[in-house]
Amino acid sequence: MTGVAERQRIQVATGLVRAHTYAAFVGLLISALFGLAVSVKFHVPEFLTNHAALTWGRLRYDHTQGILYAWLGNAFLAFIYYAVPFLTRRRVTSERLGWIMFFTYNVVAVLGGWTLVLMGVLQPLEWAEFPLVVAAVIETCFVLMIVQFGIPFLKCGASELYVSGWYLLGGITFTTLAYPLGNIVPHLLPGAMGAAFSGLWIHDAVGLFVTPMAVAIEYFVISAVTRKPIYSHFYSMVGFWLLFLVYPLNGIHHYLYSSLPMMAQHVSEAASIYQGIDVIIVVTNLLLSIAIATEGTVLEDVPLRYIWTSIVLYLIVSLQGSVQAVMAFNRFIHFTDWVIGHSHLAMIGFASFAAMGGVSHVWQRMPGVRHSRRALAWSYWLLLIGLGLMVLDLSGAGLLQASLWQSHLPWIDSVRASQPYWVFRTVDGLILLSGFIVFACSFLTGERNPTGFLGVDLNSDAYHLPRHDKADSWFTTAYAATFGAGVVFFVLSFLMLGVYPAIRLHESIERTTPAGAHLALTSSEQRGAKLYGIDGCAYCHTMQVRYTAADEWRFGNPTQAWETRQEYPQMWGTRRIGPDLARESGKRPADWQLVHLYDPRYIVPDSVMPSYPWLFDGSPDRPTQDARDLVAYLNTLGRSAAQLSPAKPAPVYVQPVVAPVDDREQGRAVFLANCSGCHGVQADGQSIGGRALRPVAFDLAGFRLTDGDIWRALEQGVPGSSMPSWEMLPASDFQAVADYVASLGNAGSLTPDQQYASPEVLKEAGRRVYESDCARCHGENADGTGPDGAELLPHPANFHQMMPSYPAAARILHSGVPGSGMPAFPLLTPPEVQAVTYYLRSFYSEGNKQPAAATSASPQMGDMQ
Amino acid sequence: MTAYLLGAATLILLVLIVWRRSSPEFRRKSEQPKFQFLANLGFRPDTNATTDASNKTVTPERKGPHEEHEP
Repeated sequence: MTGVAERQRIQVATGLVRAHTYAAFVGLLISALFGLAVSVKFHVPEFLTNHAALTWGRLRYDHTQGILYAWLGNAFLAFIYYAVPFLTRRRVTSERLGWIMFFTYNVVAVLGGWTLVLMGVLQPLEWAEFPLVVAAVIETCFVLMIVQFGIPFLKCGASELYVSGWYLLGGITFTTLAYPLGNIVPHLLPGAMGAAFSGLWIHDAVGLFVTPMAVAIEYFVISAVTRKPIYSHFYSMVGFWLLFLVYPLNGIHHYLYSSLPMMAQHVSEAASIYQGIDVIIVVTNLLLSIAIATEGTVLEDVPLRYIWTSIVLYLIVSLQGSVQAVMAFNRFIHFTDWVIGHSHLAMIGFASFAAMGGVSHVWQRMPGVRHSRRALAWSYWLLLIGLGLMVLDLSGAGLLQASLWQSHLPWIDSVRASQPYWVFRTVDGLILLSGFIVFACSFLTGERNPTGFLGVDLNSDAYHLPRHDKADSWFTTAYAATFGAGVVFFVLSFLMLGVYPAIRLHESIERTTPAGAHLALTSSEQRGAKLYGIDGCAYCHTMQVRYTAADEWRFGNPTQAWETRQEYPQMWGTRRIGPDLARESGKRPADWQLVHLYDPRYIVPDSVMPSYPWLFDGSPDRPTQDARDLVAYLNTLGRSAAQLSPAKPAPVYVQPVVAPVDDREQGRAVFLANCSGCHGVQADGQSIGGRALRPVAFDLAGFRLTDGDIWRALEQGVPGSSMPSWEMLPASDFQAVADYVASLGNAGSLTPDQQYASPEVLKEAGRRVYESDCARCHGENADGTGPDGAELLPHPANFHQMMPSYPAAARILHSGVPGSGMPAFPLLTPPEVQAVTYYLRSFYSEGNKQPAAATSASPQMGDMQ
Repeated sequence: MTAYLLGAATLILLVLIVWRRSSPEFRRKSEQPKFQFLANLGFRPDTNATTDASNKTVTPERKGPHEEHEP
């Protein structure tokens, strides 16, 4: 071969293609395993729970970052190394630079990022979870990508560049610009202001990185496999420009109904709908290209089949996204599993299928490698079935959750109802994982390709140099101007949806922050905030009460922008598996939070929240400083707002009165599902969780309670204790559990041979003990109104409403009630204990039934019904 | 402001669409890259085709280097 001929053969950097492909497989399988573990934890919460590194939040961070960078990033890079010579008739800038990028990207960014996240070094920002040091490395890699690939594209000339080249160039350029916005700015701007920038990046990661790369692959593979041009190159460019002009405007649709300026929310809503039009143009062009080229025949080429599926799913997921951004629908569906189904459809159905079509297309042409068409076809069907089931499953779960959240039922009901869906998701995940494994195997088995040249042969008689004429300069100018407009639009989107909301918010925050608002966090609370982010709490518990009726009813006043001025970075969250925590301050005592952190199932039997045992020295009553810090932080959430507008005491008996439920089993079932965690299965307060609370859980079996007392406790909770309000229970469940609890109290009585003295003597002796040791708190009339008990929470017992059994009273007098004002009286003799108990029991009156008419005018009654 | 932004994006593209419809040269040029790409892949396209439906005029005549190892 002559020197001239050698110069005219542009070889693909096959080593880099191979390296990035293998790295993509490893990334895909590890990321999928992270995802599978995350999924299993939903229905087996104790799975991998003893080590901080394996907690749900950190695995979830690594799952999404792994899919984005380890899998898709490597797959895209493998494809770009293959595609650039065919798109530009030029080599990439430097193979040596390629290897430096490969090792930097995979060893430092991906492996380093994964490891640091597991160690708890991370940032709790969606799609930006790798810590800042890793983010800096990734940004450097993006800049190097511009050097590596952008230069050949620019040399190629705008009028000659095929649409795939435009998408690749646009994707690399705009991602380089957008990446710092989501990774750095939220550290500089607090709360709502930072959320505006986070929202931009959340969507730009998909819209400006994943989408352009995937669409570039689709356009490339269609022509390469069919050997025919696409239907319309012009309209492919229209789609390209619309993507980059409009997509950056979408971001804030993740924070609709928030305290961000409504104008910015409407921009994102309108742009999201407009984006759907763009996708219709792109998809029509792509599908027409395939249909015309293949004349509607079955796609025998498996990579093209992957591509076709990716295009169809791109249309579906994009239109779904547009609909989700419509505020009326967003109000209903946001934060549910529907959105998780949407993101899996986007990242697997659209992006991964495109990447798989791309790399498998490339691999079939790589010299000296094996590939198996049979295995590839199997992987296609496994992945299609697995994905289809998963999306259906999660969409169904999302609709169910949304309905339950609207229907004013206790939050835990949505968790219980989701369980079958979550189990099914794990099954779907296993199918997907098997599809991924078979896909990887298709690259390692089968026949081996012959070795030889792979690249562009400029000596080929098919090749011709493009003609250059006057129109080229017009074209180049027009295309360059439009690309420039894209950059301007990106800057505008940054200004409109990032800077403008931030300025407006800053003004609003300065204007609306109430005098005396206590927003600064102590050092302990700040450490708690950091732990909250590290362990992924914000990924299950949003921290933003939206301006929707359902949110306000369930959680309280909407989150104001000024409340978030100390949040660095914001942790608003985009998913609710547990309830929103923006109004958590004062809802529950610290000991409840500690027990709940140690093992949520101790007090909420059906909870799926992970345990955090590493925050304790072996038991819930031995928290480490980290646990105390975390609880201290939880108690700051909504604290300022609560201090400025204290909650009004709820009216008593807001529950609608229903006919007595003659179904003890129903009451027991409700009790076991909601109450037994603290009160114990036997209702004696002896559960592990109940004993760890301060005050310890109430011994329902040892006291007879009036109906009124039971109703009041169920509806309002017990101030100063961990007993929450259960007013959200359905009326029939509420009645059933109230009746059941009323039936539990076994106050018993003394047989004559158990009595130390006659009733009269016992009563008189008991009165003397009572007046000596009890009356100052419980009051002279034993109604809980003694002078020393006025400040106590929970309030001293009112013995007109509760009657202790003799054993229960003896236990309490001997040991006190840990965590309450009730001390131990170990020096009382057994006769004295019996006497004072006898005296107390004499006050009890059964006549305190709930007033039947009290609820008829209750404003919440309609809600409950 | 929303309308201005989206309107400006639409206007830019409408100008290009009108330009393309009114100018055969523009139409030919705007479709040129897809033929150039096929040539880069080693397929011989009909580079004189100017319309969207020009696909039918393309007749791959030989395998190019891109196809050397195609199964």
